[in-house]
Amino acid sequence: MSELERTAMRPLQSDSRTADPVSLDREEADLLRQVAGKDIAAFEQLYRAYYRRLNRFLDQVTRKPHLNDEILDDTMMVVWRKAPAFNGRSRVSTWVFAIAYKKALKALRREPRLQDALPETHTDADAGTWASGPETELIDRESRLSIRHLLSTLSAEQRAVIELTYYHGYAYKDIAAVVGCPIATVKTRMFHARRRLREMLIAQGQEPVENALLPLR
Amino acid sequence: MRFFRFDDPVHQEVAELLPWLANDTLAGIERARVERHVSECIACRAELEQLRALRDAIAADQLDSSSTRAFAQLKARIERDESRTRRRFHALTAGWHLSGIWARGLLVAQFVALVLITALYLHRPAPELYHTLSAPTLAPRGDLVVIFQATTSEQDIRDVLVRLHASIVDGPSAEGAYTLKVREGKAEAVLEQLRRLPIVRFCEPVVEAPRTS
Repeated sequence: MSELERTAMRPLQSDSRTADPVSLDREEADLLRQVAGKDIAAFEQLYRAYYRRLNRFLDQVTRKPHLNDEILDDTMMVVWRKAPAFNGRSRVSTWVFAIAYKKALKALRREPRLQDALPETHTDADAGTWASGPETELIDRESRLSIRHLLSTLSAEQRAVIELTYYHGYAYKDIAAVVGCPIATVKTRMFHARRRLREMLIAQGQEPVENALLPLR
Repeated sequence: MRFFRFDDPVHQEVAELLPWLANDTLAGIERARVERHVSECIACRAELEQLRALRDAIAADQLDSSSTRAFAQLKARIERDESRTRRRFHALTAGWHLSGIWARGLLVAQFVALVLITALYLHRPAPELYHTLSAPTLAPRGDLVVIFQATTSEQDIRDVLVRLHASIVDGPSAEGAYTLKVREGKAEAVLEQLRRLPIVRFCEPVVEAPRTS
């Protein structure tokens, strides 16, 4: 079984921690070359390899299940049509996720009233000092507070960074390529996401412990 | 193991990178630097543990989805899309074959005409960007161009012109040049006489400008 098949069959979890990324990249690049030649079977294989990853990614970014099927289809249609234009300078997955991310943001913009994504009003200058991250409080209270609910308080852009880091196992430079922004912006989004989670815990009466430096467990 | 000040630049830099240490994507010198700090910093070590737990919690948030039906739908969409493209192509090519020899001939004629017009347009002479005193716009019908001294009176000019049987056909221009018409075959003689007069500053025969169109 190839890395690609293993990735497609694997239950939802980070592929980078269990797959050989070099083999996976090579297999995907080969597959995309076949797709560029209008090989529908190769396209189906690529689709299956990406379906769960994209579905999961879009679910986290948009939080609009009714949009995701269409966004995913639109993304893969672009892959089908533009495969000959893929220049190989990036990983296939970075390319595909970048398409999906753009489509997701576009779909969210189309329905602004329904968009729950919080505008990113923070700037780099907002960055305060690092005490302990929100995760310090978060994890021990996960039985009471749903992670999914907490993440829904973040902007779509922040959720994308969290999702690509913790679920898809992307390096920050790959995330920058996917979301189309500088590395510093990725780090800043991550910082604000963590701070936002902390604020949510406080707002829900989950005051940080007195000595927040110490692990809670 | 010790506490670092939260505004310590090294601590801040490492704290910013902890999520990517937690997902094992840091490498090389950067990873070594972060790991070194984490080994010394109580806060970062605690945070890293929690970040790894967060990573596992996010990964455990399952989403039930199946690609089988979804791909069937997308495949149908691709087929519709490609079928539409083929139909458009066929409509264009079929239209060409069925349009008859006259229609095709007309199309070719239009194309040829377009090429000719373009060629004529591209080969037109460039417009003149300046004018000389003898340019045809200044002296379209004259024989000589003359400029008198600024102090010359109108009466003196008239006397000279009467004496030489010359008449003004154009001017004065902005430069004070008059275009004169003289009797047939007398242009050269009048030119010589004018040049000898002290009231004449400049006198030259009109040179036929090349046709511009």
